[in-house]
Amino acid sequence: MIATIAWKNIWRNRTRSLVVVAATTIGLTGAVLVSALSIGMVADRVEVALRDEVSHIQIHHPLFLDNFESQHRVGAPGDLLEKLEALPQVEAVAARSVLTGMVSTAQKAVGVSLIGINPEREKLLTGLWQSLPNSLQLLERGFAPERASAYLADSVGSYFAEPGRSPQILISERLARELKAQVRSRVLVQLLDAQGYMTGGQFRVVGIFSTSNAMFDESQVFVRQSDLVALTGHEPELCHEIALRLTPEHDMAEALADVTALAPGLSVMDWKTLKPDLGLSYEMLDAMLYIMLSIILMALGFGIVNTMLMVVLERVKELGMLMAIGMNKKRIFAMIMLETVGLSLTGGLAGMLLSALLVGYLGQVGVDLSAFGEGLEAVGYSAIVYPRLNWDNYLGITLMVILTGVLASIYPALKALSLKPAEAVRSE
Amino acid sequence: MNVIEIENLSKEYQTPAAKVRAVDGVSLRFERGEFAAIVGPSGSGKTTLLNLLGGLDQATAGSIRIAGTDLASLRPGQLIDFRKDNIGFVFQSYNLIPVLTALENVEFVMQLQGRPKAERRARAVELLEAVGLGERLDSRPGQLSGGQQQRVAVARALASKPQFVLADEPTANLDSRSALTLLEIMERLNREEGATFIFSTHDPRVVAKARRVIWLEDGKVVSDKTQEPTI
Ligand SMILES: Nc1ncnc2c1ncn2[C@@H]1O[C@H](COP(=O)(O)OP(=O)(O)O)[C@@H](O)[C@H]1O
Ligand SMILES: [Mg+2]
Repeated sequence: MIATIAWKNIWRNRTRSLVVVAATTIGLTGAVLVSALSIGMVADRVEVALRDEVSHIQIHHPLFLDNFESQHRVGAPGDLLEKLEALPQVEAVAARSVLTGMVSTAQKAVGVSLIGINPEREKLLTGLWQSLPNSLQLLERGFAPERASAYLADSVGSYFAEPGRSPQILISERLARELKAQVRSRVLVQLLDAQGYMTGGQFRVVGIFSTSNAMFDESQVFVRQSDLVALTGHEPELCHEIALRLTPEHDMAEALADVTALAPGLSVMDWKTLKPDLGLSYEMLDAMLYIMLSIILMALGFGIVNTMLMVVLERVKELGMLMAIGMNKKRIFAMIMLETVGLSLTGGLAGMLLSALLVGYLGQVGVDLSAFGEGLEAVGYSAIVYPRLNWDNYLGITLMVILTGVLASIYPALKALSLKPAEAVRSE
Repeated sequence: MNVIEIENLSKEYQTPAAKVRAVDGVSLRFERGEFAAIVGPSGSGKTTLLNLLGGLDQATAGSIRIAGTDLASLRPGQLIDFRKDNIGFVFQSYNLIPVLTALENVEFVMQLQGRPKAERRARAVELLEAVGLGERLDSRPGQLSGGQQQRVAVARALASKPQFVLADEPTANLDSRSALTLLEIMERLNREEGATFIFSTHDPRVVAKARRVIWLEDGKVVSDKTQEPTI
């Protein structure tokens, strides 16, 4: 009954309540939309990083990541790969060797990590093969068709297209610029062989890739595992790293446990451990959302306090009458609090409905931020952002709105309780 | 049996200018079933006396016993519960909860008392019929005339089955026809239900309906007589 009265009381002064509701709706929608945009932006970046750079889980020798020494390898990777592939949550697996070496042309020599891959397997796991632009993408970028094919031939090449020929290497656009190399250029690769002697060989540049991560591009080159083994005399199964992609709806803790069980004595890490900055950006954005909401809700809260004080002042006689006929302090307090929470929650729910619709719609069509952020793409962020928000965020916001209502009701409710019934009911 | 015993009751207000004795050494007794008017010019202390009697305000001196309970002995929380169960109120205005219907307003006090739904509903309907509003159960106060609102207030005041009903100038905002109708309804409920009414007024036609008339002047009782009410 008290709740019913409180709810009906909200709509006694419809205009005033609607102003408060509108303010809350707009404030919340703004905060939620800005957050959803930044979360969407980061989520896209994280997805790319997961797909092309880290995958979900990596397996190494426990000491390998300390200094990348070639003797810290994963033994019998063939067996392990098969078992890992059989796990229910695993979508794709690939093994790699990672050797430190130098790539040089007549112009320049650059230290790099030589990643020995099985091109076919790697294609199933990472998007490396897609970071070589294809003709369609070039046309979309505005290349004239006749220029596009020339560009593809000279500046893009292909992803280890023709097997069997002389040693092949994929380098990044940045490195190609530094080395003044093109597709079909020959580069010298030097590194230590299986016995620890310096060795070297000619590799032909077959493809030039470009990802959104400058660090990744500058430090890694990709060669076929078979070419690397042939050059260094390592055993064909040489493996330093196994990377796994999980199903989209995976349970990370469970997957980690499964993988660890199959890889005794090896270090198994998820992407958050491997790249703490990626995981951190998610958590930071969550914190940002709640900080922003706190500020907006605080401002709205003061408005609500003001509104409810007006309500109490307007209803002095009515409150006096209620106290006279036997409504105790607890009930008076509850009535004012429920009215305040109801008022803020109405605005809160309207705000969340509106933002859910907006986030849902914009999450489909995307928001083009290229007009505002020329630099976005340079640092790995896409200019088309797809805002998104998790359901637990909506729950968190609801709780914050309720808390705001409760806090905002305290002062007006105490004001109501301080009324003296004998004074309040006097008609003069 | 005496329901109310007032002993040497005084109430002083401190104003910047001086002390005002709004009620000055009043001693009165009321029995069950009385229909009494407290009469006096504006400022004579009627409202102050009724507020003291209703436990809405504290006396400066003297005592009030209601059905054996000394009001001064009750803590604030107990006083609220005591009012809820023992005293019905009718004010000059703002008697009703505007967002509730007439029926809900009458039920509300019984709900505060924790009475079961069916009993509440039945008694509220019965009382509203008794005040002639059987057809307006679902009307909100805003849809009722002033006189009808006061009749709902009388029904509400009786709903909790109180020891007595205090009504401070219940007819002050009514035209004379509505005022007389209200008094007739109160008088009938007084007879038929045995409800005790104590009401203040300065309207001579209302005074004429009372069976006992207590005159106040400057906070003192100057006359206390029973009379034959005019019908
Ligand atoms: N809160 C108050 N402070 C000071 N004086 C008051 C207060 N309430 C009432 N009074 C004074 O007490 C006297 C009695 O007032 P009241 O009981 O309202 O009389 P009535 O109801 O008969 O008009 C008046 O002189 C009034 O001015
Ligand atoms: Mg008065």
